[in-house]
Amino acid sequence: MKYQLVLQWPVSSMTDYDAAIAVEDVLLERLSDTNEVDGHDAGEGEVNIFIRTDDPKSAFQEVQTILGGRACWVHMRAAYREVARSEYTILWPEGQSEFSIA
Amino acid sequence: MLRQWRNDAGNLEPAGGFPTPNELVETWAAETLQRQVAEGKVAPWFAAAMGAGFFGKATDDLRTPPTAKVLSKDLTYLYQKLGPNGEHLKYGIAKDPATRYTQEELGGGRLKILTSGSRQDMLRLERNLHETLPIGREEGQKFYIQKQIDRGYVPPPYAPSAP
Repeated sequence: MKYQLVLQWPVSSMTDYDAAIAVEDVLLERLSDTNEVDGHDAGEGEVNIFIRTDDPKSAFQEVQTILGGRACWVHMRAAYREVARSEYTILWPEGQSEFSIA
Repeated sequence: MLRQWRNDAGNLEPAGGFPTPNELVETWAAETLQRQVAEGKVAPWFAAAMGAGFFGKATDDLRTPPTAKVLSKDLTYLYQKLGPNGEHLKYGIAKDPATRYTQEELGGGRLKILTSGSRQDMLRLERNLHETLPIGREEGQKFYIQKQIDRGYVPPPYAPSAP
């Protein structure tokens, strides 16, 4: 798939981390077959979930539908890049100008 | 590498009864592959290619290497992100680790594949590593630091390595 969509939000406790894994499980189960949950990493105070897709905007809309009501959404950041490139395009929150994976 | 980590962390060793870090990785890798071969999920040739030897009786299905698509769907990789000097930064799991980070994000470092298996097995192993080994510069998860303190390990910042 051509793009990597990254979902990122803060975690500060084992409970948060467990919740992040549960979120990944939900995405694995509910995202359409055109989008593939690739895995995660846990950076400094944050967790990243990586999704492979050919249509990052559509994938993000699906994610928003699935996760919009969850606690993690409050501080959610989302951005995507072409797999072969390094520049991120930020999708969420609107107005966000920087995105990096720590 | 593991010897260096222990050194960096003040020669920490697991409390009595816990496996050493290299035992954790090696045992899980061997057990995971062995089980997957036995269950027909991984072909013996794949296990052999990973240096794990042959564990089971090959069937007709297993003699044919599966496609890359099937492999990527069935296998999850546990990786370690290393810095430019080979220092541990963080762990992660991926179906396709090759494109997980940009060159900029790798910053002159690389990913080291530790093992592969089912997602659930990789999640368990990842958690064990987080709770047992020295915390990397890109991790800094306070709850794992507390977990290690509770286990009697030396928390970061770690003493500089002996020359």
